[in-house]
Amino acid sequence: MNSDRRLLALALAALSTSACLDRTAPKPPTFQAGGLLARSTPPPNPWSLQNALEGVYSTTSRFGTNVVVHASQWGAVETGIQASVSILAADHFAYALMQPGCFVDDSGGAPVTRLVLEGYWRYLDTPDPTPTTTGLIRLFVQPQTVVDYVCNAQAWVAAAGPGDSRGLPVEKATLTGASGAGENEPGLPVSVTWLRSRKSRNGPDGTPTFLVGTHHGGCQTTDNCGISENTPLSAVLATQLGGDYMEIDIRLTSDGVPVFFHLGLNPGVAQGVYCTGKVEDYTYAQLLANCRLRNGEVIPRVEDMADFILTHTKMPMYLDSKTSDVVVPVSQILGKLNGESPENINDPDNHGLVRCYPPPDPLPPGSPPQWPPAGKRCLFPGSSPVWQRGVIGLPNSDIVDAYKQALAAGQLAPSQHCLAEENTSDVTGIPCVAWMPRYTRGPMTSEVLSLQQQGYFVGYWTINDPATIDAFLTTAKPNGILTNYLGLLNQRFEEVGTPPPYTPYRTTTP
Amino acid sequence: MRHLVLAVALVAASAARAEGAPPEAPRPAAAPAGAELKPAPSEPEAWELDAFVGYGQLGYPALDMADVTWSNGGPGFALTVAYRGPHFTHPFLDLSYVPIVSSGKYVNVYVPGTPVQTTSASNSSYALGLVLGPGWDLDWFRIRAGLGLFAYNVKTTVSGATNSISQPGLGFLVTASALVWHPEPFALGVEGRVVALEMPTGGIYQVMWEVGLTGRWDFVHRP
Repeated sequence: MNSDRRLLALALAALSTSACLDRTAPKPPTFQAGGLLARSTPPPNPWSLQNALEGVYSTTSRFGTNVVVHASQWGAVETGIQASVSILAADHFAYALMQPGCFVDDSGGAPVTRLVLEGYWRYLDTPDPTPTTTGLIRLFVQPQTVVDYVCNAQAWVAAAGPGDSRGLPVEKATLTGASGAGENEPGLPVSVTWLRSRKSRNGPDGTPTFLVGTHHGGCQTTDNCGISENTPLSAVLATQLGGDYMEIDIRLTSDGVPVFFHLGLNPGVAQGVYCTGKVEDYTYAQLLANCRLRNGEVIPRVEDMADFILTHTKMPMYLDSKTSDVVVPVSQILGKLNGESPENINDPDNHGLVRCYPPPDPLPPGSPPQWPPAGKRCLFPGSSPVWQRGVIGLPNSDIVDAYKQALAAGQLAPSQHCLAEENTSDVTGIPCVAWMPRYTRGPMTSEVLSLQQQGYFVGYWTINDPATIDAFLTTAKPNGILTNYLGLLNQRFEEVGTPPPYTPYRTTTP
Repeated sequence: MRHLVLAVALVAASAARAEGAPPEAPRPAAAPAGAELKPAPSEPEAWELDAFVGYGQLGYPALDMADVTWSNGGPGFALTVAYRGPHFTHPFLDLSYVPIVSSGKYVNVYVPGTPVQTTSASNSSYALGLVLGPGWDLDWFRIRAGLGLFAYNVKTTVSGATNSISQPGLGFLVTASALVWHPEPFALGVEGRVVALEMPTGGIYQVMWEVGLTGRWDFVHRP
C-alpha cells in the first residue's frame, strides 16, 4: 500500500511540474537609457564601416579566434540607410550585433571623436537566453585614423550609389571594450584584433559565386532572438548577421492571401488564445484578429514583406511554396512589384520597384525619358531588379507540376524565376535558375558541378553542424548553403570555403 | 516531455495496480486439526457513473483584453465511469466538455495602402476530453488526476466570415470533490476541476478551471 501511495504521489508531482509554456518570447538585453548610442550620431556614410572594419579577427574572450567582423547596411532610402556591425563566431554559434555611433569625448581634457559599437551578444547553441548565454557588449574602435575615417566621412547621398569610394584606411582596426552577462553593464574585457581580410566570394568575372543562405530569416523563432522567423525584421537581422539570400515559407489563407509562415499555428511560434490549427484554416482578417507571432508580430502578407525586403535589403528571396496553390498568386505579386517590366514601366498607376541607386545601364527597353518612371519606387541601393530577386521554390513534384501548368497557361509573371529542390531535370527542363537539394542526400558532387557549369546556382538546405558545413564546403563547393546559424557558416567559409569558379544565377529571361 | 512520459507511466502503473488482485490476507497461523477455516471477509466493490455540471473558463494565459468588448466562460459537463475496489485508488475514465472562453472585440484590419478598417470579431473555444487516470477517496473527499486526449475547438467570426477549427492534443485533468450527501446508491456534492492542455515537447499552453455539482451512482455494487 505504501509503495502505491508513493506512486500516486509521484504521478501527481509529475503532473504538477509539467512546465507551462510561455507563448511570448524573451527580448535581447538593452543598455539602460540607450547607452552611449543615445548621445552619438550614426556614421555619415553607412558603407564606410565596411571598408574600415570588415575582416577576420581574434578575440580575447567570449568569441574565440578567427571570428568574422561583418558590417552591413539596411533600411530604406526614404527613411535612412543604417549600418550594423556584427561579430560572427563558430564557438557556441556566437554572434554579437552592434550599432555604431560617433561622439565627441571630452572627459580626458581635449575633445576627441570616438566610434563606439553597442549592442548584445548571444550564444545560439542554447535556445534559452540566460545571463550565461547573452549579454551586453560595448566596443570602442581604434586607432584614431580609423575612427576619423568613419566618423568624418562625407555624408552619403543616394545619388552616389552604395559604397564608400575612398580607399581602405591604412591602419587596421582594433576593437576594445567589454561584454557582460544579461542586462548587467559589460564587465568582462574583450579585445578584437585584426588577423586578415575576408576571402573574396567572387568568381573570375567579379560576380559573387558563394552566398550564405538564411533559413526563414536571421534566427529561428525557437532560438529566442527577439524576432520571429519569416518576418520583415528577421530579414534585417539576416542581413546584419551576414545572410546573402533568404528562404521564406509561403502559405495561402482560406481567402487566398499568400502569407509568410512555416508550419502549424502551434504555441511555440504563435500566440493568441484562439490561435490554433493551420494558416489555411483562416481568412487573413481572422489571422490578424486572433494570432500574433511569438514576438508580437502579425503574420505578414507576401505582398507587404516582399516589398519590405526589396526596399530594405539586397537579399534575393527564395520563396518556398508550401502548397501548390501559392505559385500563381505569388508570381502575380512579384509581377506587380517589378516596376521595370514592359507592362509596368509606363503605367503610372503601378507603384512597383525599380533600380534608382544606381539606375540600370542601359535603361530597360521602352523606358520613359525620366528615371525613375512616374509612380515607381526605389529598390535598396545596389539591388538587382525584382525579377532576379524573387525566386519561387518548388519543393516537390506536385508544386513542380503546378508551376509548369501555370507557366504553360501564361499565368506567371514575365521573367519569373524558379528553384527546384528535388530533381536536376526540373532545373534544366522548366528551366529554373537554381537547384537546392536537401543536404541529407549527400554532396552529389558531379551533379553540382554539371549544373554549375551550365550557369545554375546550386545550394543545400539546411545545414547547422560545423563538421557537416565543412564537409560540404570542401567536397562540393556549392554556391550557397541554407543555415539557421549565419555566423557559423560565415566563419566556416572563411576557414575552409572556396568560391566556385562558375558564375551562378542565370540572369536572362528563362 | 520528461514530465509527460513520467506522468503517463506512473498513472498507468497506478491504474493497473488498482485493477489487479486484492492484496493477499495474512496467512493465519497453522490451525489446529479439525478446526473450521472461515473465509476472509471480501472487500466491497462498485462500478460507478458520475456526472458533473458547472461553470468554467480560461485561467492561463490571460486573454489579451485590448479592444475586447466582452468575454466570459461557459457551462461545462462531464461523465465519468470508475471502478472502486479494495485498492485505495480507483481507475476512472472521464469524458468532458470543457468551456475555455468566448469573447468579442474590435479589430483593426490593416491593409497597406488603404485606410485601416475596424471590424468586429467574436470567438469562442472549448475542448472535448477523454481522460484516464486514478482517483483517491478519503472518506467523503475525492481527488482524481489523469491524462488524456483533448480536441481543442475554436470558432471565430471576423467580418462576417466564420470558421471552426479542431485541433487534437494532449491534456491533464485534476479534480477535487466533496461528496457530502450519500443517499445510497447515490452521492451528491461539489467539485472543482482543472484542465491543462499540453503541447508535446513544449509544455502546457492553456489551463481552464471549472466549479459545479457532481453526482455519483453505483450502478453495480457488491457489498
